[in-house]
This record gives sequence, structure tokens and C-alpha cells, in this order.
Amino acid sequence: MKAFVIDDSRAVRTILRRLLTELGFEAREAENGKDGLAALREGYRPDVALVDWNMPEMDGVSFIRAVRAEPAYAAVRLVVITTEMEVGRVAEALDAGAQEYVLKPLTKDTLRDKLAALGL
Amino acid sequence: MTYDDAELLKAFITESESNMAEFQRWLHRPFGTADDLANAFRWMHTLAGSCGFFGFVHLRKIARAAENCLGALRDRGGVPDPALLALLGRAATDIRRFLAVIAAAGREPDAPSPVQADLERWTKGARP
Repeated sequence: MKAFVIDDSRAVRTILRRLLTELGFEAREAENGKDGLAALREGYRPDVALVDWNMPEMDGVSFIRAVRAEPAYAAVRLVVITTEMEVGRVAEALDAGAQEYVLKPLTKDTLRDKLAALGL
Repeated sequence: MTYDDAELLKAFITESESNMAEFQRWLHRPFGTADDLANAFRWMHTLAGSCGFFGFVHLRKIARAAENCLGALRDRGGVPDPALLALLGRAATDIRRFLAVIAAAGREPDAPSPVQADLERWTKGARP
């Protein structure tokens, strides 16, 4: 299984990559939505993308909308990573096409449960 | 769950120091576009979000207070006045003090930042 971590924080990307690796995923990183979208356009097809909300260049919701607008990426599950400050906007991400959301800071158990809910 | 791994902590410190240096430069530049404010907001937002993984409660609270302050400014389409710039400057200085303590001791100071309450007061007053 392949997981794509898209977050502008290197520290957070490193933590998430470790958690995903411990859960048996092969993880790859991008530091914003624009770079994430470029990877998909180059042919990278993760099973799931964990997408931060607030990023430079292209934010999480814009990335989700762009992915959902392209049928070739339909199989990519999208999970938005958010904070307690943004939880009121989760509906916006779900409306845009995200299937799940997780709150930072998250634990391995939380992540496992969320991914399992997506069939991963 | 918190992370005390030295490599992760170093990545957190390096990234946060870099963001706070950018933030302090932003404070001393003439106020420009809404993007400038969005960047300043994001630097604090990223710090607050990352702190949670490491269990740095006090640092998270001051970063969140600064983020909320910038969010209030953004929501009302305002330009930071000298008093607010000074307050945010105090916040950045204190955040860097926290980061220095964490870098040296691996844990944050025991007491919350005294600037946190001032930021929260400003935000409360700024909200409609």
C-alpha cells in the first residue's frame, strides 16, 4: 500500500511517514498541494493521500478539488489533516471530496482506525 | 503520544526557528499584500500544529494565541498597527526563548509565556 503525505511542515511529514511505515505503508512526501498534484500528474498513484489544510502554493482543499476533478485519480483516498482550530471547516473538505479527516496531533492508533475505515 | 526522538526534535527546532526568523523579518517589513499576512498566519499555525506531536503545551498555546490574533486581523481586513506589531514581536521573541530551552534541555519551560494572555486579550478585543 502506498501513502502520500502532503504537509508543509518537514517535522510533521517525518512523523507521519514514520507512523505510516510502522503501519506497513510505503510513504512518499510532498510539501504542498502543488507539488503533490505534480507527482500525481507524473504517474504516482498512492492508495491514500494525507493532506494538510494550510499550506503555501496550494492548500489542502484546493488540492482535494483538483484531484477529484480528474477521473484518473478517482481511486486515491483523501484524508485531510486538520487542527482543532479548523475543525469547523471539515465539512468544506468533505464536500470537496475528502473521505476522512484526522486532527493533529494524531496517534498511530487513530491513524490505523481512520485508514481501516477507508478499507486500507 | 509525544515524540522525543532526537532527529524529529531537531527537525522541529530547525523548522520552527526558520519560521520564526521569517516571522520576525515580516514584522519589520512594510505591510504588503494579504499573502504576507497569510504567510505570517501559517508560520504560527505550523508551529502550533507541530507542538502537539511533541507535547509542548505552553509553546503550543502561545503559537495558537498568535495565530488567532493574526486570524482576527485577517478576518477584519486590517493592517497591523505599531502596538500589534510590538506585541507580535514580543511573542516571536518568547517563542524563540522556548525553542532555545527545548533545544538545550529537550523540554519546554514549566511556565506559560506571559505574552500569551496579552495576545488573547488583543484577539478578544478585535473580534466583532
